Amino acid sequence: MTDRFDVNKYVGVFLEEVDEHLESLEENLVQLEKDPEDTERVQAIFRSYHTIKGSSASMGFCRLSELAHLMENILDAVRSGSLAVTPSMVDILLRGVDAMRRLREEIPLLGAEPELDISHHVCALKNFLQEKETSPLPREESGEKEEDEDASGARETSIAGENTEKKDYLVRVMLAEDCSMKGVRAYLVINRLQEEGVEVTSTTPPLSDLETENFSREFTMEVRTSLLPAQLAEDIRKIAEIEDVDLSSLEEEEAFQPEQETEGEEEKPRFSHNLKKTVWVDMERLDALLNLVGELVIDRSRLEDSIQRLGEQDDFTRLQDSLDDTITHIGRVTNELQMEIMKARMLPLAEVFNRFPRMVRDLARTSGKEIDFTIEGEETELDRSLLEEITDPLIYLLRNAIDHGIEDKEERMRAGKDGRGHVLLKAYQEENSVVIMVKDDGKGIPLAKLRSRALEMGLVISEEPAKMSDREIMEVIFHPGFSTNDQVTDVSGRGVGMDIVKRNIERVNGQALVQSEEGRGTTFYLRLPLTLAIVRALMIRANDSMYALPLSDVVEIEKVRKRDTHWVNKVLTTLFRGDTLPLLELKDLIHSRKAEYTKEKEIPDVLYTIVVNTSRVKAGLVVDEILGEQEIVIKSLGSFIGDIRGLGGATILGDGRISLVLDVASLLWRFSQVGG
Amino acid sequence: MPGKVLIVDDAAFMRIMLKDILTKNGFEVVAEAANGKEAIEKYGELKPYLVTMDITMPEMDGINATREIRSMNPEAKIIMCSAMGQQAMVVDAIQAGAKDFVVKPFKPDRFLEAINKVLGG
Repeated sequence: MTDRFDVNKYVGVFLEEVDEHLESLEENLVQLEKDPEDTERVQAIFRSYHTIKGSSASMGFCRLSELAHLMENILDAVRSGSLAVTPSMVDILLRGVDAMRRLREEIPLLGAEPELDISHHVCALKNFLQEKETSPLPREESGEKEEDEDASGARETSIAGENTEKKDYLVRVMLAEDCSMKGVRAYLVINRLQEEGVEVTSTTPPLSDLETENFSREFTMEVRTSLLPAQLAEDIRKIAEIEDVDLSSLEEEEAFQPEQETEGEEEKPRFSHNLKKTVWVDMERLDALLNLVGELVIDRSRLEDSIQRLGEQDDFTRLQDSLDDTITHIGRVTNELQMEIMKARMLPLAEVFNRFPRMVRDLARTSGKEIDFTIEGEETELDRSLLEEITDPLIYLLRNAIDHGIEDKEERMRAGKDGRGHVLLKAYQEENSVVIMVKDDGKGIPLAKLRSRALEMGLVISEEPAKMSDREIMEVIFHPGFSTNDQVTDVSGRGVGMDIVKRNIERVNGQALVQSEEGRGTTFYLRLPLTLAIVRALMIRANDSMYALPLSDVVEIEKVRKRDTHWVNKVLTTLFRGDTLPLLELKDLIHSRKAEYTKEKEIPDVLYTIVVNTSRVKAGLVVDEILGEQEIVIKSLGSFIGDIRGLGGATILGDGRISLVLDVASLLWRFSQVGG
Repeated sequence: MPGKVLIVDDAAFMRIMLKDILTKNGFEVVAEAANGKEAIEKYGELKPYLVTMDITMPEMDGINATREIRSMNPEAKIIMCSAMGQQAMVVDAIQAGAKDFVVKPFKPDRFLEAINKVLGG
């Protein structure tokens, strides 16, 4: 009936769905531990296991299916009230989820389920159920009792019906070889006959054996009916997985041979290794995109038309108007298209946040601390590629908060705080960026210790710490290799991390900030652009090249006159809002030459200065010309060229020219090394 | 209209697979529903000739949905898609008026056989 059945093409959507369920399982299990009476949640967990079980079995992943099945049984026992939710149950279920995830993770690589030994999980899950002495499927028995009553009820009504010209037949039914749920199948046959007014007087084996599937593939029924034998056989054959029906009159010999049905060859699911990354996109967004593309197509034909008319007419002004019109329209449509595509790439932060409750739970359990973890604003959306970039920094910050931020229970009590530590992970949109906040009410960062440590490590010059503001001191924690923790624990505090947080966030044009009050807690803010791909940039000229400078790095643009400049420590500076701002020549900076103005260098009368601010340095970049502002799409330079200090990528301008995109943080790296 | 099918399953994976099998074999999948409530709505709206119905679903399960649909149209043709071990529920579904059932995981031929047989009757 079908051509070769290939489960291959379903593997992508299968994995996506399994991932979704694993994630929600984790979240729901953690929540269930907090509120074991939440029956809605028990149902949701049950359904997740159930769906994974079914889908995995369809894909031929027996191990996944078995694990899901065993855990489904535990949840079923919870659902029926015969098993109570305990932390040890949540432990065993979470470990089961981990095992499923490990199996799942290798599927894209192997193209099959890995030969992972899951027997200890299977044993643990089975034992767990047996210990509690619950039957795995309590519903089954009660259900089948109902069935029995109902069947006999139906039998009585059929007896009460008309009984003219009724004859007795012996019906032999052969089920298909691989028929599953034989008992139900037999029930369906009997039920169907009864619906047709057929009286089923007895069965061999008896009904009770049919129900318990205590028979091979074949069973017989003695029936009484006014229907013609051919019709009777036909009715039964309309049920699936019936291989053969044999009807003989108990009065006269009469047999009917139904056609044989052949079964397709057994095929093992196999699939190739190429997995596509998929995103679920709202249908409305795709519709909007399609509409916009349609608009563009219309414009294209309008342009074609205008060009054609150009050859025929001399009426150039009207033609010009028409072209202008079309171009304006194309501009508008392209803008919208760009916005829509950008939106289609957006995913809610929940994608990343959802895994954290589990992580926090585990961390809290190992560290013996009680943590109240809250997530807010997980519906906030962010570009998909950004989502990937922020995962590690967030994991690090959360670990840090639990490991170092939150104190031991006793310590908290002594300090007059709630024994439970509070950690808040919150996301919100602010203008054109998304802010993610990781806040704890722990011990905070000790400023004095930070100051002395910074001095000790030579991160600041000896007389400086006193002069540095608290905020500036706080920034030191983002310095590579900096750590105030004398002890190294297994989760965090190896002195690496904070700088990586900062680096990752800055790489995606974001900012990492920290705020802390000793004894009260610490809050980290990660400010991220909504999208990576499209940024507003300032177009500038230095030497004869054009460069794009992301506007997020630009503080202000200043026209500095030569007479307003001063020499400070042999460096040309100007006073900018009360601060001394070093002036650096961009063209030299790009070519890694000495960019500071010196006495020897010729200083122009007017310096076109772009004030930029990285987390460590504020400086004025002097350029030859400021060309204006525009939206650019940043393209990677590719692995062939690789990372070049000072460059963030390239972009193609409207006229087809290529312009390099500057990366201020790495451009000024040399200056931040000496502390500004 | 023979040929018009409504697929009801909470797993997108299953829906895609069933839809594929059906459309490849000349059926028209008029709609998909992810739970019993949606199934009832779509059934009332589109009057499909055949419904494939999952059992365990959020909002409303397949048994109740079958019951509701059968009360809307006593002639409604519904095939249950059951997982292993749901014997009792399949029996419930048959009592609620389901015409036939297949047990997941199934081969497409098995599924088509059930459909063709139900349509033939």
